Amino acid sequence: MRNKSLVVILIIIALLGVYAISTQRGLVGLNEDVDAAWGDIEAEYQRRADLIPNIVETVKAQAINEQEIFTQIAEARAKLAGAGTVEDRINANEQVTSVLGRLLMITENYPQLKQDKGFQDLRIELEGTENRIKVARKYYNDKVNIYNKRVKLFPTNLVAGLMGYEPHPYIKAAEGAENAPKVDFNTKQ
Amino acid sequence: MKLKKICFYFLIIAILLTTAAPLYAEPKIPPATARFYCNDFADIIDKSTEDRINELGEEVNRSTGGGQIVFASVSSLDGYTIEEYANEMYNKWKIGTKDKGVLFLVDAVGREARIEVGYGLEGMLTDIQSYRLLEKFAEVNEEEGMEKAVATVYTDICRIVTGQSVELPERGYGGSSSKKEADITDIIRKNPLLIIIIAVLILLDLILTRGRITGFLIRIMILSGRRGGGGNSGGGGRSGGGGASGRF
Repeated sequence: MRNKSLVVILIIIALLGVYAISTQRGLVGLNEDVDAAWGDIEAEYQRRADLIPNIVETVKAQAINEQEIFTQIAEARAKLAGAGTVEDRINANEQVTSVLGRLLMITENYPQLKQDKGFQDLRIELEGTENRIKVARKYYNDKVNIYNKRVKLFPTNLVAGLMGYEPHPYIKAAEGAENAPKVDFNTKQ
Repeated sequence: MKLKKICFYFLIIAILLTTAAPLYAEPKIPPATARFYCNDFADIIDKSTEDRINELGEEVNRSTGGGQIVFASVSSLDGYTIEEYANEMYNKWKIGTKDKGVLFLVDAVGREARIEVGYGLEGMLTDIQSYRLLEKFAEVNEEEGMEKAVATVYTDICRIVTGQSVELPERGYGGSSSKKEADITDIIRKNPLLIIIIAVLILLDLILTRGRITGFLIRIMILSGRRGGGGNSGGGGRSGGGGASGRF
């Protein structure tokens, strides 16, 4: 009788072990997906960061003196350079997004910039990069969504808690950033 | 009693799993047409141009080892921006083997167009080139009409992607199955000896194994024929949002 219950308990423990292992393996895979998606965003953020000096130079070359926005851009870039954690980097990059949006709004007031071929190309590239960031962000959030559900929902949350799997942060777009720098060149005016 | 409790918990888990709503609502994308390369949902070009685009698309697909240039026209973006809509369409249709694809989308009612470039072609067709093509699209549309504008930009995209001066064919053919059949009859006409050999082999098979091998081969042919189907489909590609948008 005692033997029988021992066997039952052992079987249950073994099953739980198998369950924990398979859950953990699933979590590792999903975690990797999130990391890869984050890597994509970082690459696009970097592409944008590389564009900023060029844009600022092109604007300055047209003898446009908007010191305030240049200072804001410099601040945003400094903050970006100092950001370490994922959340800090997300926030710093949202600030870059809004500052760049403001810069583009300001450039609207300078018709000579619109005619400048170099600036036109930079704006097209910037618009393309902003769109890539949006796409990468959506992809990242989708992956985080799948992973977080596993981490937070019963019963997988028990295994995730035991193994120290934490939910990842979502990237929420800053207020108004969603519809911000919509570049519209109406070349035929 | 115990069973009831377990059932209750299961129900809760099931509800939790199913009601976890998706993070983003997504635009409803219609399925691609059977020939895949030309999807004129808004009916802005005529049938013969559609056939020619499909044919050039098939040619580019062959010459680039799985590259796919797809044209689509819609009359509504379902309330989304053209960037969101184009990206969703690209990924849903899985354009391009190894992400080597381009989606040329025209919103006929909103008068907006976008060239969405898959990861695999971002190096060949840059955002700036895409933007210039859309400027050209607006220009040609104004001067020579939509028919010509779509054909011009589609051909230009194909030229950039293949690096060759490809052209839209003079005349398109309506479907892809007729060509295949023509090929087979051609082979038969040229090699009468082949038929005799096959006939002898089948005869031998009927005598020796009561037609087992023939039956097996016929079954394989039917199965693979069904899989072929005559149409085209996406190559599994994904787009990271490369390209450009413009108005016309």
